[in-house]
Amino acid sequence: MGLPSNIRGKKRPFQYRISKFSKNFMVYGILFILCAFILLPLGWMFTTALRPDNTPTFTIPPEFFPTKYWHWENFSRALTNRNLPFFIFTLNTLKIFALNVIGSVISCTMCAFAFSRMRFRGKKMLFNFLLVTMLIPFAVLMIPTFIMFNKLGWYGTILPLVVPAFFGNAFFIFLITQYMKTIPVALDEAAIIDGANYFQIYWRIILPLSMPVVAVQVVFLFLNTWGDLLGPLIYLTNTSQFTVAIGLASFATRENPNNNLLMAANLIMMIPPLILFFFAQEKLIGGIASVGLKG
Amino acid sequence: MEASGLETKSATKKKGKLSPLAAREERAAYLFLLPWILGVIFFLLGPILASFALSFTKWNLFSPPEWVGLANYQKMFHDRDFYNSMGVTLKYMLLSIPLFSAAALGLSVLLNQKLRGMYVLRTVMFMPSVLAGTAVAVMFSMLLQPDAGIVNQFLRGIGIANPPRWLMSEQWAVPAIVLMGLWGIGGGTIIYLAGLQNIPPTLYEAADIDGASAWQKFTRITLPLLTPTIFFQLITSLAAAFQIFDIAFVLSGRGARRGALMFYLLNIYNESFRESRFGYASALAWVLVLISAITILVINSTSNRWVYYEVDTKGES
Amino acid sequence: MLKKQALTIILALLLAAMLVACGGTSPTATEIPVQDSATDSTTAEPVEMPVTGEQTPLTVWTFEGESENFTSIIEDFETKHPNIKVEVVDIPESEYGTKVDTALIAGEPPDIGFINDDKWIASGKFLPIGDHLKAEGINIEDYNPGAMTVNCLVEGEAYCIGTFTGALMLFYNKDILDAAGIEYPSATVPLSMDQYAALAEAVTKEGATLADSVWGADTDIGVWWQDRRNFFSEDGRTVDGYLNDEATVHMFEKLIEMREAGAIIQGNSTMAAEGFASQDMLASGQLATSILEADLGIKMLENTDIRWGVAPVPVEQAGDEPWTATWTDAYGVFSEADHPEAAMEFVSYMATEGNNLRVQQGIMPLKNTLGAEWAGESEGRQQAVQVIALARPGILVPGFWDIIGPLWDAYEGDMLEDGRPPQEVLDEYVPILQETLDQAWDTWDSFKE
Repeated sequence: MGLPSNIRGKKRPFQYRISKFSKNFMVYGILFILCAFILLPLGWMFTTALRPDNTPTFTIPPEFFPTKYWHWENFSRALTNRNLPFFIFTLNTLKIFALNVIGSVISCTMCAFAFSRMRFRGKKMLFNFLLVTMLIPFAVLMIPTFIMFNKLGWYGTILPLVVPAFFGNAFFIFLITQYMKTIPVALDEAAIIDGANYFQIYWRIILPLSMPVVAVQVVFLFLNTWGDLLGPLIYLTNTSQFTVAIGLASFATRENPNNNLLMAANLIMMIPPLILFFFAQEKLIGGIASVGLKG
Repeated sequence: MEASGLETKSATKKKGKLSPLAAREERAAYLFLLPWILGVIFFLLGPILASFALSFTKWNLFSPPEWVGLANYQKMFHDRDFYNSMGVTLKYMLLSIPLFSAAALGLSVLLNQKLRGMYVLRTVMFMPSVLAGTAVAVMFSMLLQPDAGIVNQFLRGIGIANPPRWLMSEQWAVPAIVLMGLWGIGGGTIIYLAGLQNIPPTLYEAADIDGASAWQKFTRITLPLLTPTIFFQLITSLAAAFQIFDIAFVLSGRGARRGALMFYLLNIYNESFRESRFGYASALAWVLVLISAITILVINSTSNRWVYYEVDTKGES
Repeated sequence: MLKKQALTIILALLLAAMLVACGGTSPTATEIPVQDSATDSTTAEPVEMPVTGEQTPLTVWTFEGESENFTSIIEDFETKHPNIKVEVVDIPESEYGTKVDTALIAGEPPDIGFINDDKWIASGKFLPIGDHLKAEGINIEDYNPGAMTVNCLVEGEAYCIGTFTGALMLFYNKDILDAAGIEYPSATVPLSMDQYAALAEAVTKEGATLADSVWGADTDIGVWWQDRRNFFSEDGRTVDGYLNDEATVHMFEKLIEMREAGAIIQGNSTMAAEGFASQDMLASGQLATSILEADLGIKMLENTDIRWGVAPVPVEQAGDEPWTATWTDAYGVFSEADHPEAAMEFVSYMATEGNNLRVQQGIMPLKNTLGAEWAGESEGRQQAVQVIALARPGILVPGFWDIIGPLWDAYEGDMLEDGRPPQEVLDEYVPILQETLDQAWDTWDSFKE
């Protein structure tokens, strides 16, 4: 961060280009070092995934790139060797995800709209309560919640995994509230003068402007649904209802520590969230800079 | 709908009349909040009350709960694991929260540059956060192995004769967990990235005209306008630090240092699912809720002083 | 205007509710009848097989279903019992206990389950199978007594039976021992801690780089691989006078001596957080001895050129009775099973044919009499059979791992880091562990009410 001081005041194009070049160079430099920090362990995972069964995964020196073994079939084995219907697992997961997105985006943005842009009595108290609900450890609520859903007759169905999404989630409401608080108020005021009601302000102005944070929410929802093991596992009973996370979770049992298959499975698990993230950036980056003030 | 109507009426009586416009706004606000309020009543209240009631009982899951009064809460006073887990969690919090916040903020500013190939770089940074906690833990326990792990090989290579024993050491186990968190920091940056999008570019353009340095632009524009996001990160990372579990669960499996990795939630998990003392575990959880709620409410009450909002929130009850 | 707003919101909610309902009524989701949790297990037995030769569905919950070996056992069972259709539900090991607990709360367990938590037996969630096995001509005495007491026998009654024997053994690399001129450990008489330490220290070699180094051993504390009677009273209720007696203190002294001599590499596979595994060092020829699961060690070593052998794990003192820790894949019948009779068929099949199939798959069977067949010509395997024959019935200590957990801190922290004498440290830990033990017994007894 030391370099920019020599930019100051000098706006001749040539020097500007130079300093811009050196700044970019530095940004790239730092990012490449960070990439190495992130990719080396992943390279080690990849190397492990390509090893044959029952060979040491730990070597001296460690191997960060595959050189010796190229057992690509481990990836297909991770998906097929148990005759598990991974196609159906994927559909099941996507169904839960889709319902969560619909429910969670609608309910959370609505609540966040009220918390961020409306005045009403009891707001502070309700907001504090919202924060406190984030703090109750899942571990102790799990059994009472399970008993409740069981009494409702929802055991063995996906209802416990999707219905709560339609009723808001403290983390996301808080996230979106913080975001909506930074959207210029002038926008609402102009809309009220134009005769818009609150729902129209929410739906036509604030929601579209909140797309970056909604994109974050969708990414997180996907990570949660995609990675959730315990939820689907305790509520679903048939293999035909299971999700991808369950299908891939049990490679390394104590008796059978197949580290190669475990790592292959984990690498496969990474792909869908990464694809989603790659494309979600469209919505994530841009935001008000491209939509808001111009539109 | 009815609930919100009632509330408005009784509130009006208490506090005097609202202007018709304000009353309309209030009713609309409660309608917007309706899904969440219903959700709390139907899905949260029951389990919360049940777990609170259970904290006064002895319950092994299969036999009916047995009322023991305050015994569970009294037991905590002389429970070594309780004190130990408080200490470990606190240590983690003090180490991780400042470090993670700074790292995520810095990284997101880097990733927000409009440069060629940034889509790919962002995706790479995001990679660790999509890995299952178990896989990360397995990998790091190998990298951090005291005798032959790559990290210590490297440290010996640069002349540190006695590198830390990481997960096997009382002192270094928590820093090792923090290090793993740092590796996965890319996930947290996307929240900052979203926050950065809301800063009008015109502000930077104006600053450029005034000849502001990049550092000045960062401290005078970026930082203040990001305070809502920073505030969010602070609160949620506090909540997350109180509830760190996955990685600790895998790593503190039999064999590693038990005490050094006894995070609060791990202790709750052990008490409930491994030792079948669900009553005591509930009591532990409620103490956690109490402590973390006080911490967060205190921080929240200071937020008006340092968090900048477009929407004026002062003077609201 | 407000009305219009309210209408829109309600419409949105309705839409949401509809979508949920759609999700809920999709064909995969609703087939499970909801039952009251208090169903009486003995009367709720819808025997509905006959008429059209319909198949009895049998559900098995396990975390071994992924292995091809287990799948072939199920296939064989179905061929021999064409009227039974087995559905294996594969549950990740880490969450298995929670899954079974919640299913039991819901009153809907499967027919058969893998029992990896004794509390289910203690609280009557599994049916005794002793009489059934006897009627089928199966003699429990033929099965490894160590594994049976660890997993299946509670107060003399059998609740489950398995197909293989898991066991902990001391693997050694003959090449390394030969190079150091050291005699191989015996397959029947265990090393004492003194001998173990001497051996490990003698072969340890610190090379210029890690890749040239050799370690002598890989153990942490012996509390989990030795006979529990070294640390607990026979009834499993007392630690004082056992955990801190002279012999155990001596064991800790020896371990510290080995650690300080650099003879121990950390990261024993059975104990460490699944990650770094010392067996990898064993298979790369850099570790002279390893205390390791037999099946795992044999599979890994048979993949290399290393000449290896096995011995029973070391005992505290010379002359102590040998000990081999064993276990099995324990399958039992849930008390609330829908088809207990077919389930019993399955369990007795596991005890007989299942064991035979394990031999064919190259896995050590639970039935002792099949050991020789499993070992074949392999000298190492023959030694393993000898070591397994040393297994004796264990003692019950509820919550064992949670009770001994703090001892790792005592060893790594108080003894190694702070350099305090083991006797002093153990005396200090005894009252703490005793309290945990008392609580564990209290919970255990509450299951039986």
